[in-house]
Amino acid sequence: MSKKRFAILFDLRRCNGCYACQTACKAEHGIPLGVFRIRVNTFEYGKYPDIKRAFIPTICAQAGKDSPMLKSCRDGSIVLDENGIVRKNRERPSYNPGEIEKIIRSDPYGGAFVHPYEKSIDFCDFCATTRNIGAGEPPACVTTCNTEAIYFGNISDPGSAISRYIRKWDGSIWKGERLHVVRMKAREVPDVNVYYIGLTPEMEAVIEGHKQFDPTFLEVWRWQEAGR
Amino acid sequence: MSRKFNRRDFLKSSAAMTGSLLFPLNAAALPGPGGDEKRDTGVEHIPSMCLNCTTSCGILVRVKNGRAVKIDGNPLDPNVRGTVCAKGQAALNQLYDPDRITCPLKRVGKRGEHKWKRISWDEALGEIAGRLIRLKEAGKEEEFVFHHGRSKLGSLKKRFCRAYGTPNDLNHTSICSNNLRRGLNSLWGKGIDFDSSDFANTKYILNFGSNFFECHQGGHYISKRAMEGIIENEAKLVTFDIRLSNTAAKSDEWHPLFPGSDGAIALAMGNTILSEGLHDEQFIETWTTTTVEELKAAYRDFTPEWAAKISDVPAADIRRLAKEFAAAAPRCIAFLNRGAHAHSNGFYTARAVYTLNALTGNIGMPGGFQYSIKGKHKEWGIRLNEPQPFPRKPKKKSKVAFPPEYPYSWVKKVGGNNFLYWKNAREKVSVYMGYCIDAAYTWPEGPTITKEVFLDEDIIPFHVAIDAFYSEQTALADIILPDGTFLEKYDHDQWDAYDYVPYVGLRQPVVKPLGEARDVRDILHELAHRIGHGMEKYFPWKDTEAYMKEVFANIPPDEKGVGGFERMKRDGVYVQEDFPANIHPAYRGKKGYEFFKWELPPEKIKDTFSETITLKNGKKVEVLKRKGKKGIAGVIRNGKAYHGFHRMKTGLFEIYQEDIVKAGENARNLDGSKLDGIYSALPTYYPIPGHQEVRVDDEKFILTTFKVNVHTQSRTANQKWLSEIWHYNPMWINREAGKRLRLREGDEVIVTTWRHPYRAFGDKAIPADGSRVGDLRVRVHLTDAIHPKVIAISNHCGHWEYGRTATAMAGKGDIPYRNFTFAKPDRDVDENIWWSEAKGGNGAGYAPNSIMQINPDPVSGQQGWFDNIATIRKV
Repeated sequence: MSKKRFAILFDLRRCNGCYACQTACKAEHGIPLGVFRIRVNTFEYGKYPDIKRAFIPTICAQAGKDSPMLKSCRDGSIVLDENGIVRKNRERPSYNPGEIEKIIRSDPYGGAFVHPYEKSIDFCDFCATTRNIGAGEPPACVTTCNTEAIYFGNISDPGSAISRYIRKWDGSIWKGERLHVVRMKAREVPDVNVYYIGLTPEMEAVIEGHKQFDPTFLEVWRWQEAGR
Repeated sequence: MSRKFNRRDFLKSSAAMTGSLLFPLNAAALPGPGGDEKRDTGVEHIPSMCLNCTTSCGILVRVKNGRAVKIDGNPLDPNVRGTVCAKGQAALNQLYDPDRITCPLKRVGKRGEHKWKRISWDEALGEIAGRLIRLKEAGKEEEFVFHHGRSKLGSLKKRFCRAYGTPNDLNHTSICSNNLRRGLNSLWGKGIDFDSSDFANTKYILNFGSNFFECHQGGHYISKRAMEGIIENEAKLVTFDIRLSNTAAKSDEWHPLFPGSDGAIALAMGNTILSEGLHDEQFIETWTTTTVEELKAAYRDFTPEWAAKISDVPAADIRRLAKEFAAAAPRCIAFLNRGAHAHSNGFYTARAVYTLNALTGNIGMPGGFQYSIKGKHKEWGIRLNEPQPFPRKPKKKSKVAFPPEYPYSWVKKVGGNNFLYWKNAREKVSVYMGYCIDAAYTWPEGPTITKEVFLDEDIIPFHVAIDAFYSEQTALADIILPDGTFLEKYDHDQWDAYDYVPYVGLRQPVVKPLGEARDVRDILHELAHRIGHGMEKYFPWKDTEAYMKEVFANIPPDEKGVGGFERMKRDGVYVQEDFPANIHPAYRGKKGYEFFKWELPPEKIKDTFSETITLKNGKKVEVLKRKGKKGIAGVIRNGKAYHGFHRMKTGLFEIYQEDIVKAGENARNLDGSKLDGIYSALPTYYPIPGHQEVRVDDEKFILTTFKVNVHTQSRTANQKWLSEIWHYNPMWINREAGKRLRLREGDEVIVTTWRHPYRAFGDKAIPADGSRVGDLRVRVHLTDAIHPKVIAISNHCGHWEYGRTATAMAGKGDIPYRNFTFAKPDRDVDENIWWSEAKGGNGAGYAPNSIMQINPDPVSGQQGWFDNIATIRKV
């Protein structure tokens, strides 16, 4: 079997923007207000009465060995663990604002932030610090998803939950449309481990605009702006 | 059914490894959390039930060194299947709210002046008991009012009020779900007040004003199952709503409609189904109290063209959707919630929507509209024990609890009017005790009339609040008793079982109550003993734990011999796994569908006698009864004995409901004169006064409210992870309508609401003279996601009390009892409420209820929230 590569998939057909994943993450990791490891984005496009509202959870792209953050990190404060997950080195965290800023700037997804109290870098690590990911225990966002929109596992293992789900739906016809499993912004960094079903150009625009971690985009008056 | 590997499976497989398949939730069999915490030995997982909304999901709380650190779903709860929503996750925030009330407080300044001193429990309960004893000795028990919101106290509140002798055991159902419940139980029977339809197996969902992906009682369970139906069966979801809710957004079709016209659309769909011969004749003739002929006559004038004129939904769409719905039968569901029924014509809307299921014969069918079964219904086999003796109904009467204007209201469920009644001196109040209620914020005209009543010591001479938080109503109390949060106390609870898996659940303390806070059940118990005068004999147990032990005494032991309360404490839920064979061995292998069509086994017919009922419409039905028993034992159809709709007196689905007409004959104004109303045995429709005029008046709008996915009405705004998501609620207005008024995003306007211009019929105490209700200054949000004649301001926001998180006053104001709190500070609340105005944010939003008129449905008493006639003026 090839090397372990953990990945997450969001089936946007199933996502109804309930924020359970975002809140579960805050609880699991004690993430302060104003910053997020996972953010549910709500945005709107179209004109009355053909108005659409869509939801897309966004997290750190977890690009494995290709991770721009990993590459830009010179002080060992970010490591690739035995499961192929990029995570902060809890033994050697960096508190150097210059170094942290450099790492955060290197990230094209905007998924990392400075923890306002710990003053170190923070981003999604698939709950590698709190759960037995290697043994198959899924992250907190996955286990609490009511509509089963989030799938996780070792994508190199064809028997994992994520691999089975991709096999079931990729290329199939659903409600008259062909479904595609796509990776978030795969053009820029090939090894991204965040997958979507039902990703539309409007949704990609949200990510391109780096709006996905700005807390003010939670407010209703910005939903339509996010969708443009 | 798709299955991913989730925490539930993980727990199950871990349990299997320990050889304990049948007890996957035995706390000892749980895996410790992974990673760094794995080395921590002080971690337990305690099962309980959530109460961060009414749905009561089974939860597993991770407790580390005496502190609750994470909430997950309880995989043993058959409804929940291991997940919780954002509110469930954030419930930790209410437990550790730094602004909690943690010791008894007594007012020292004027009422509402926020001046408090700390007192002992002994002093607090002594003073309350003293006043209640004096009232009782004077024979004025009815002047004690116990007023509760979504309390989950079960029979204990009834026990307390009855034991004291007051009929004023008041609740909040009529500002909540009364029309839905009364509509359904008028068709299906007492106790069946929510459907738990088979969403996972359906092909078609016709949704009138329910936002089940965001709220809805039981919405968490529906979301899960409806999404399964949508993905796996490609089920079609059609939503009628004035606003694009997240449910409407996830629908295949969203049809914006004029408020309060849902009933007309449902009737027009019925008209299409009947006139095109798409109805299920056999079901209607055999299982309902009406006939196809009678229905055809009753529905004749409700044409799609008629409904289109009222609703703005094109007749062609109504016809098309009705045909699609009927074509999907029996795998189709028509249902509703507040958007459709919380109108002053909503009772008949509920009846019209639910009746669609009967017309197409999908009731009880796989993928269809289902019986709501609760684990504790005795016919399903789990009998919770009610400790004896239980007090009898008091002799005293109350015209606030039972207004003569609403004889068809579900018992004691007219609530939106009560502060107005007290203001009008309908009845005297001496002691008001509020529990789990914030009427000054949540009631219609709450910030005005309710607040005014509380501030008037002539109307409410003594006000006790049992509350964990300093709510708008609690701030107006004389004595505050600190309640525990739901993570610190006991309840027996469950929601209606989806998938026909009946269960009962236990809510139990996962940590000790903070500071001097106490479980409300302990407070009522001690009060009963202090009041005495015979009241104490109805509270014979030692403490709440002992009470719960008795309640769950009937829970059978597992094969390890663990049963009763101990089993509940360990698992959180007890599931009736062998349902329905537990009812009768002949039912082994059945699932629960079409229960009414099950033939009665011979033993169940024994000792019955038959009786023929003739309804006023001429239909005759033979029912089986048992001597000395209320209700029926079964119903005879085509010569055979069936369970039937066994909670109805006819054993049938009562589309023709003659009790409504009978109640109408008894409806009286307060002065005893006969009250005019529309009391129809069959589903009908009447327009809301003044609304059709609004449709053609460019200056006028209908003001409505809505709920979002991360909040309850009033009890979640203090939870930082939720208020971070939804704290600012500008008024939604359609972009084109806004442009016409020259409004831009974020502009400030004054919204003025006006009482209905006339009263068509009903309660004379409710003003309907076209006068101004009030003004509210709000900012606007221009959006394409709302009907052009509607404006909407969400609930949840605009708190002026409830602590710093709710009011977004971080770093500015503070709670007035800071010196007497045991709660620990929270750095987020102290420093980091980024939406506060002090930090340049949009602040805590607006509370719209001051301009939401008191507006009961004349039949049921349900508050019509969404009927407000409004005008807008730019500031």
